[in-house]
Amino acid sequence: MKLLPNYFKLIGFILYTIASVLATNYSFNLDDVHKPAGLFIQLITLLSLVLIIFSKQKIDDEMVKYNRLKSLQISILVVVLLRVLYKCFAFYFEDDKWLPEFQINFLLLVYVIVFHFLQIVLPFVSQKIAKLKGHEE
Amino acid sequence: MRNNLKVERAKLNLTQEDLAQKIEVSRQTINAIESSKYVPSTVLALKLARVFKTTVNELFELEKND
Repeated sequence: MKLLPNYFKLIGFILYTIASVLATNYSFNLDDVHKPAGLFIQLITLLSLVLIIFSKQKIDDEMVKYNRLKSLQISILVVVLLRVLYKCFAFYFEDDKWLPEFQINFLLLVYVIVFHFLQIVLPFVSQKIAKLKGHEE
Repeated sequence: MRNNLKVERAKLNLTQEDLAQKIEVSRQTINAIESSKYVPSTVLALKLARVFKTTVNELFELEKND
């Protein structure tokens, strides 16, 4: 699959930060259909996440492809489980404030977190563990 | 699946980084292959064999439970 060049990831992160700042300072409901600014903020958030997801890594090899698929699988599982859990909470407490309201943004966000965990955190940790084991031998 | 990438690498005195550059992958990928966390595709296995001037069968070996 054709992907965007690596620098789009940086643009995506910058846009996401801007959108987060805007969303936290926005005093109205983001889904208020009479105020187009809400739609604007939501579209920037969505665009930034899509840019992050669809840009290449610095070295884009086959393991990165494999990690992309794996993180998609994990993130779908996480989102579905969370939704089910929240719904169960809502029915258990008989309180509709627990009813899940996550949208596609949440799936993309979980995907970004899982993917970067697999790409950066996991290799780093496993390397540290391997080094420790090496010292013991 | 077992592999003797580490041994072959030592014979040629290559670091993981050197090998990664030769076959255009990241160092993390080489590390993952060596520690059997990732099974390379046929193309990558052939590229590895070409670097070490050997065959894929010499580099990778099936285990009983595979």
